Amino acid sequence: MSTQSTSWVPPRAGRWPLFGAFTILFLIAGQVLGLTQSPADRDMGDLEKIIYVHVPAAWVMSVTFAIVMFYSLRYLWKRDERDDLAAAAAAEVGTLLNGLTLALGMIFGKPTWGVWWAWDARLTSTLVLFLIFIGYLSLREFVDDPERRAQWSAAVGILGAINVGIVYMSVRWWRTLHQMQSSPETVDATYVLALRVNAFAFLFLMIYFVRRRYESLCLVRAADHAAEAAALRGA
Amino acid sequence: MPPTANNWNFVIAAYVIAWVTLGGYWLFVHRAVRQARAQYDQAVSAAAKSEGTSK
Repeated sequence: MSTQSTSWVPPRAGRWPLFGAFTILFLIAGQVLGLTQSPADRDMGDLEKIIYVHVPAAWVMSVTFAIVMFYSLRYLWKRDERDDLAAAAAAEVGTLLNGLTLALGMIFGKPTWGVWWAWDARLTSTLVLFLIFIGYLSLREFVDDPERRAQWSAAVGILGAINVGIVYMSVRWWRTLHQMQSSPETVDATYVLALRVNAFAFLFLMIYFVRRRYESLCLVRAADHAAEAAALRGA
Repeated sequence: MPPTANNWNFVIAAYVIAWVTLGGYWLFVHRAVRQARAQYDQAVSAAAKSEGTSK
């Protein structure tokens, strides 16, 4: 017997478009600040400007996968399909940020390390994370039964999110080409402000993307429920 | 090439990729919401019609 809830109303857009517009302005301000106000680094030169997109993308990617874990666990506990849809929305956005982190890291790596890619623990674990979530999104496309899809997705989502911890600790556990984790204590004050503003801008953008994607997934499921109910009445 | 050399082409490439990716996803999300809303409205009005005829 299905435990999926069919009586809920999909969320409305509300003031989210306004939040989206604010986010874009905040992101533009952060990027301009990073590009124009931070001086060239002694060792990296102007390449340091890449940190204002690469580092926020990586940080916010981790937060997004933590959201996947939260909603996946909540789905397995409460069996409310809205939790499954929230996890799916976060997984899609997290995968996007994961891909972006990898691409920007490669662009950063070429002039600093001399290679586009190295099978270093941080890079490899980030690639594994990306592949797990590509698997998660593929799974959702190929499984038709909503309940089974939600259960399997939750399991993969939790496993994938656990891998975020491995990605984070990889620079401590193994000898890597990638530098250790940065914090405001290890980054020069000149760069901290732009890094913070961009980190929050990426965080707001992620929240906006996840919320709007969740809204669209809920609408599609609610449309399916309405069509099923109409078909049952007609039968 | 030492990292301190003029590497603006790498910086520009990074920002272009970031903005194209995020901008492209922004457009995708808005289109998805619009299409989902239309699909939902259509399904609800069809369900309301079928409820009316079944009474």
